[in-house]
Formats: sequence, structure tokens, C-alpha cells
Amino acid sequence: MRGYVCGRLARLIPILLVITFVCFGLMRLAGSDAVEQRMENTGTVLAPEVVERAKEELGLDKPFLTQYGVWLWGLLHGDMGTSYVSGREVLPTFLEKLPATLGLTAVSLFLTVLISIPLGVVAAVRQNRWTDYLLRGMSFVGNSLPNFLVALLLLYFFAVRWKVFPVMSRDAGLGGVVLPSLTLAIAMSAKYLRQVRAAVLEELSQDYVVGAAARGVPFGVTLVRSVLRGALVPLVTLLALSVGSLLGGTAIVESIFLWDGVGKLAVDAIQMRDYPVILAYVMWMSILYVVVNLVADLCCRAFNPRIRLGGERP
Amino acid sequence: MRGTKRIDLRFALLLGLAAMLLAVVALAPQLCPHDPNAQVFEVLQPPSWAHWCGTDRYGRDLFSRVLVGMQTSVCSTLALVVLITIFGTAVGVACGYWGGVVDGVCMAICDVCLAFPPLVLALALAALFQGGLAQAVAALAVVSWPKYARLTRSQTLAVKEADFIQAAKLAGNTGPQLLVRHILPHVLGPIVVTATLDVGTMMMELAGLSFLGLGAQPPTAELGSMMSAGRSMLQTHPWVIFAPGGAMFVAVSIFHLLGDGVRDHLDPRRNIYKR
Repeated sequence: MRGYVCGRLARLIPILLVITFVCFGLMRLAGSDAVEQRMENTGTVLAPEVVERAKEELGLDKPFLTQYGVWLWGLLHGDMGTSYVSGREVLPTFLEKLPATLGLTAVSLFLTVLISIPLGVVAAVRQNRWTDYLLRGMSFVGNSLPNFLVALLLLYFFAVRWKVFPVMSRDAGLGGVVLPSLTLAIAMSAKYLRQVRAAVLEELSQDYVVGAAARGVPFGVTLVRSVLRGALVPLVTLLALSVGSLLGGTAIVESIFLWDGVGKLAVDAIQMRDYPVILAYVMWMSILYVVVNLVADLCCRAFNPRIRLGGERP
Repeated sequence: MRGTKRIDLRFALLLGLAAMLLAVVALAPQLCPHDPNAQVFEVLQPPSWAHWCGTDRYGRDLFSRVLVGMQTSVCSTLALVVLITIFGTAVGVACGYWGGVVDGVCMAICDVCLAFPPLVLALALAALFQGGLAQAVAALAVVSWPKYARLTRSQTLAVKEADFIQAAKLAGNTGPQLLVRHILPHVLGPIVVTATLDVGTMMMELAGLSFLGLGAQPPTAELGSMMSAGRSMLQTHPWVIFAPGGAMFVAVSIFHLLGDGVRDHLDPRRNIYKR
């Protein structure tokens, strides 16, 4: 197991290099006119020399690979450049907002698990009865609603009509987290409920379920002790994979609820074409994504002796 | 026997529903009761007989705008899905069949694309291409084609060494003929299923980009950007948001149902398990 973990960690390095390289390349492709962009924002026309000097200042006149090298070196020392718009350092700004996003993601994940696992199990156990149809219908509706529409619906009913929660989540404390995380959780649960149902059904069709019933083990005990444990492995993997869509989804939801996290930071930066900030966002989100997937993979192995033992055979 | 018949009936109903949606989309400009861009004096009217979904903040008829917006959304989504399906399938079949360096390079590019969280990368790309519907479509295309390429590649690899391919080779078919006539038809089933299942999702993602201002630009009616424009009027004039939102939900639901239907139809194995 240890050898495997080390191998996976070693393979992480080229992936991270590729991610940083692609991010950097993409942003430089667009970043060449960042100077003109900034000049445009001030509303004045400037002499070419001034533009040249500004480019030199930002290091935009050097060859591409040199720029990448310099940038990567700076990155390793925690320097991600300064924002074109606010002039502040990118990394501290970003790290300052990251906890808010991670918190939102964590609460959403928690809510998703809380909603979809019990409902998915119920749907599987009551397969093809009306409970199952109802839950599948709900999951279908949740799947067909874009998350920004869910956000607006929740806002309309809970904040405007019934005034249960505040409209702006930023300065609302604990109550503010409910609507944004619920928005993300609804979209995720809709997908995840189906997967839970499928995984539990798969497990329920195993022979040991009949065997246990024949030996007089109550169904509830089999369900909790064996079926759920068996279904856990695919579910953990799927949940981790859905973190990817969650990370992307936070951007829209954060900007709707004015949740002060990195998603909103990125959306604002996109509007201002503040490339260093966009770059930081894409890069860190991708790194998080890769790491989460790795952890999911390792968890999957740790839980499942079949994979674990099968993998280590010489 | 009865089971298959019932599925066929349901599938026919779904096809009819989808055809109706497409007809509405195709005929949207003709079906509009008002000019979608013409402004009337009464801004932000609630829904009435004259304006079925009310009017927006510039006094434009919302129902007409929703129709035209649906046309924009659905057409660009279909273009996106067709684009990635054709491109992904072509790359996948070529990689699977010929292998070698091309295969290595293409799969490496796929891996790079898949290393990013899809929506985050799409967001960055759309920002990089600097707004506009075509650019948003391109951004989503870059993010989503690898799935198709991988799927087709694995299918091609599975079928490549089959006896009937060997027989076709012996019968004198050249490489391209073999690909198009014998391998492609075998690979196409799962691809069509994936593509139809993806239409609804892609529509939502595209609308999401538009919602953030990275898709259709203001004068064009598009469901995502219409909802975005109505955001500030949620408290006072909710129909400005919920008219396009409802249309979006209906369209996405139909596409999702169609996707499920196509899957059940083209993949009979699932039905045996279901019974």
C-alpha cells in the first residue's frame, strides 16, 4: 500500500506541472493585451512608449518559456503576482477567500450525503413502488434545473416571500450559509441519489442477501451491516468525483448569493479581465480537484480489499 | 413482448415531444406574438392577455423573448453537442484504430483536459475567448470532447480484432472503408446515447456561462442571460426571471427524458435487467 501511495504521489508532480503550464499558457495568450485593457479602463489614450514600459514592468516582453520559468519559480515561493485591478498581491487575497469556498463546499457535501444516502437507500429498497417513483421524479426534476435557477427559486421563496433567510449571505453569519449550500446540495443530491440507488440495488441483488434472509437475519441488519458497507466503495468514489462539478458550480452560486469566496472573486476578475486572479483560481481549483481525486482513489483502495490485494500482486 | 411494446409507445411519445420542442424552436420567430426586440411604453408589466409573460425592464414582450431565447439556447447547444460528438468520435476512432504516436498524443491531450475540473476550465476559457455565444460554445467544446474520444477509442479497440473485421479486411476493404462501414456503425450506439444524455446538461452549462455574462451578449435573447438580467428584479418582478427559467426547465427536461428513452431503446440489455 505504501509503495502504491508513493507511486501515486510521484505521478502527481508531472500532472501539477502540466496544469501550471497550461494555466500559464492560456492566460498569457490572452494576457498580452492586459496592458491595453488596463489603459482602456482608465479611459485615456497613451503613447506607445508608456505601453511598452508597462509591459516591461509586468514582464510581458520576455520570451514565453522564460516567463513561465520566472512565474513558476515565484509560484514556489508563494508569489502569484499582483492583481491588475486592485494592485494587491494575488495569493494573500486568494487564500483569504479560500476558507469561505471550502466551507461552502464542505457544508454542501455534508447536506448532499445527508439528503441523498437515506433517500437513495429508501428508493432502492422500495424499488418500483410509489416511493421509488416519487424519489426518482424528484431526482429528475433536480437534474433538470440549472443551479442558478435553483438559487433564484430558493432566494425568491425563502428570502423574498417567506423571509426565512437573508438575501445576501455575506453578512448574515450562520443563516447565510443555508441557501447557497442548499442550492449546491440540491443539484448534487439529484445526481447522487440515482447513484446511491443503483449501488444499493446492485448490492441487494447479491446472493448473500438471500443467504442472510434464509438464516433469519433481519433485513434491516443485513442492510446496514452488509449492503451499505458493500455499496460504500463506489459511493465514496462517485462523491469525490462530484466534488469537481461542485468546485465549478460554486462560482455561479457564490456570485448570486454574494458569498465572499474564490468563486465570486474569479467571476469578478473575469469581468475585469484580471488575469493573475483568474489564473490563481483555475490553478488552485485544478490542484484541489486532482488532490481530491487522488484521496478518493486511495480511500477506495483502503476500503476495498479486492483492489488493495489485487493491485499489490507482483 | 408486452414490455417492449410499452417501451416503444413511450419512446414514440418522447420523440413526439422532442419534435414538438424542436418545431417550436425552429418556428420561434414566426410564433412570436410581438417583435422580441421592440419596446412598448409599459415596462415591467405583470403577465396579462396582451403579454403572456409580462414585459421586461425595457418594455419588451417576455413571451416572444423567451421563444427567441429558447431558439438561441437550443440551437447553440445542439451545435455544441454535434460538434463534440463528431470531433470526439473521429479522434477516438482514429486513435483506437491506428494507435501509435497519434494515439499517444491525442490521449495525452485528453488527459490534460480531464485533469481540470470541467466547469472551472470552461469558465477560464470563456473568459480567455472574451465573451460571446460562439466563444462559450467553443469553451465547453474544449472541455467536453475528451469524454467522447475516450469512449469511442475504447469501443474501437474492443471491436478492432473481432472476426467480422478480419473478414471485412480479407474481403479487400481498405483502412478508411473499414473504419466507416464496419467499425463506426458498431461504435455509434453508445456515442449517440451519451450525446443525447448530454444535451440537457450542456444546455444548462451553456446557460450558466451566459448567466455569468460569458455567453450571449445583451441585445440577443438567450435564456441564461435573460435570467441574469432579471436578477435585480427578483423581489419586485419575479416573472422576468421565472419565464425564461420555466422555459429552460421544460426544454432540459424534454432532452433528459429523450436521453433516457434513447438509452433504453438502443441498449436492450438494460431492459432485460429491469424486468
